[in-house]
Amino acid sequence: METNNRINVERVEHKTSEKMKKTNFILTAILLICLPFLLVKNPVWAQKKESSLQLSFLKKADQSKNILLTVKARNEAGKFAPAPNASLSIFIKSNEEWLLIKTLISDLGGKASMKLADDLPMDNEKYFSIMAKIENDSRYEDAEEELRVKESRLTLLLDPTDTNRILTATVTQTGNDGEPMPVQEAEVKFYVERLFGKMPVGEEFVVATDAAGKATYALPKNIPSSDTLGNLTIVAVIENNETFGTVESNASAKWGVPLQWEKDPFPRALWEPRAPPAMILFFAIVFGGIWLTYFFVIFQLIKVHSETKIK
Amino acid sequence: MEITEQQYNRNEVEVLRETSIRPLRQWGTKVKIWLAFLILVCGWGLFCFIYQLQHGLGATAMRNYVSWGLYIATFVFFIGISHSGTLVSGILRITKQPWRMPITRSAELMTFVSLLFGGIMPIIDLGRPDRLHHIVLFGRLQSPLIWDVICIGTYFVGSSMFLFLPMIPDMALCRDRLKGTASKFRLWIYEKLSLGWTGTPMQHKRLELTMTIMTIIIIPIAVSVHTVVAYIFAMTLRPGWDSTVFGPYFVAGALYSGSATVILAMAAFRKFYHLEKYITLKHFDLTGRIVLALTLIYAYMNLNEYWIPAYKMAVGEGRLLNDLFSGTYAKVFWILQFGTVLLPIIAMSFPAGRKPLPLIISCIIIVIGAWVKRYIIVVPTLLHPYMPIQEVPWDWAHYFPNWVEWSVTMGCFAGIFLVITLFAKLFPMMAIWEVEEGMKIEETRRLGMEIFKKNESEEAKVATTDGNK
Repeated sequence: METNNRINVERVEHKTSEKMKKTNFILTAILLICLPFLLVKNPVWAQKKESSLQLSFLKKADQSKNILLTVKARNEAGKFAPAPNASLSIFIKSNEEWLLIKTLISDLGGKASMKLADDLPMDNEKYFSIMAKIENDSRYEDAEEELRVKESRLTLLLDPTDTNRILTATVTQTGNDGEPMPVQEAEVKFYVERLFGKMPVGEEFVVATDAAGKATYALPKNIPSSDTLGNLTIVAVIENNETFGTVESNASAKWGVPLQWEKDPFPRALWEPRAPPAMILFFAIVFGGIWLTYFFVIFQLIKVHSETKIK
Repeated sequence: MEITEQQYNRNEVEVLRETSIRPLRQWGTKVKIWLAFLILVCGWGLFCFIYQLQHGLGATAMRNYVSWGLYIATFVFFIGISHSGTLVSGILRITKQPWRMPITRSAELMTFVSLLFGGIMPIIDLGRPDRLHHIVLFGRLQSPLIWDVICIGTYFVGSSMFLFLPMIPDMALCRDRLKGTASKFRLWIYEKLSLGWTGTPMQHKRLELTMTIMTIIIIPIAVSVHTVVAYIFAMTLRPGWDSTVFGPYFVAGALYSGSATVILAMAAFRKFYHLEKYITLKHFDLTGRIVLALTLIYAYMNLNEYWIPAYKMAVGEGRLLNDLFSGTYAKVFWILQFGTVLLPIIAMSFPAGRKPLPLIISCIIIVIGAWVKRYIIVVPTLLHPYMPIQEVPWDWAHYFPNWVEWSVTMGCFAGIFLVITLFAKLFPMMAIWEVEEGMKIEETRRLGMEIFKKNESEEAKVATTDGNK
């Protein structure tokens, strides 16, 4: 009897181990089949999206040279939309050869930027060339964009003693002899710096430079300042010029109408420290009354309890 | 052996007491399974809420435009349900309706529980619930949100007291009756909650006084709560919300859904506690009439709320109304109007529609409809601001609750059922002493009528004799 039982137990154990082996085998097989799919982060069968690149040059007021990139890719709806996480290679031309200077990744808005060195290799005509490429990106098709820019200089002069408030912007470029040379017919735009961006100084805020490379504009006297001292920051810009890209310059003067602080501009505002007295009174009476009643009820309950004790 | 009248009444009272207390004696397997299920759903909801806390509100489907979604819609719904206790218990108590007595406890409990979870919903909706105490520290009385906090807090305290007061004599009954069967801890709870009640005339007097005060005071508080909930919408400049009728509209909607919930609770406790003797067909008929009246008021308010702006079709409102009447939300909107308002009105207008089963079906439809209606009030308006939504990602301009929101909300619903179930297993679901008093009044009235009839017939006899003479 005992032997039979042992045999039965062994049979059951054998069957269980057989089942387990089978299960292990199936699971291992599934895992092995799935493994390559899991390991390949960006599978080859994923279709790459058609992409496009925009490259522009910006010389800021602090004289730093920058390039700005915008990457777009065709989405499911067939429209070009910002392409995030695109790998970008930036090259500069030196002695007729393209040299890789940096790699960038586009942000969620498909934008990327970088600051260039101060001494860039230039060709005989005093131009420097930059190229941006999307290469071997797993999600986007290859694309490239080239930019050839000549360096220029924009200065903005304000004479604080000038009652006419004339803004004078001067645009120069480096001549073949290395000396500054005025740029004629360059369109200079004049703006006032504001908290969230730049606002044109007036209706005709675009002025072309003359033979001396100068553009002048008489600043209106009614522009409000953003502080009580009357400070205004004026910005002069050459925007998206074919030869020079975008070049900025700025200067400040106390030419604005000082801001007058209103003592109590919104007397009923939500952010006022105190509610109107009538409202406070109303709430105090109504809710004070209700809570007093609650306390009275609680007092009565205490009485109910104490009456038992007395008893 | 003949049973005397006094004995008969005593037996009746005994049956009532035993029927009400019997469910507290044992916890059946079905109850335990039901509790385990509810705890599981609550646990999952809590887990999802922790996930939401870790990942921020970005874990939900809410974005910049729709910052009030399912959570706030459910909050408004719960606050609406909380009107049930006020209506049935408060209004019927103040109008001295004797038939209210067996159903007041469940109504008051619904108020307490729905307020408890209604108060939690806006906290769940906060991006930084750890800053909740800032409401007290930096809250401004000018803000309708603060009015909401004050009103709901006051109403919660008041409705807790309103639930507790009529429980005191019943707690004393449980204390005395469950000795030997209930655990020491439960007996301790009954002992403490009974406040040493012995039923002296003075104690009765004090209890009656406090209950009368609370009945008078709780009705305006309840009305103020839902009015102020409406104000947090109506005091913003948004299409669909910018309405002077929003306060009464919300109160009407709350009473309509709250009274339907009372019927559902009443039907559930009648079935599971075998209270058929006390909660009769008459109760269904009368509460059905109340729901019918409130649904008619609600339908009238609904007509005003949509007809006037639809006639004018101002630009901002027009975009929203077109979306409701014939756009994305059209199906839901018309089903709500016809299915959950008009259909119950027709059904409840006939006596057959106020029988338990059809009335329960009508009430289920009303309650579900009320919940969806809150969603329709909150979400479409947020998706139709006066300045049209442009140049934003797709999911900012569209909203449907995701799994996190559904899980957390379902967790709250399970929490409501959990508290109700635990309450019903710990405390009697009928105000026993009130029903007893009702029986006494009924008996006195019957005896009075008998004496009156007897006197009348005797007078008639005397008059006949005199006439003959």
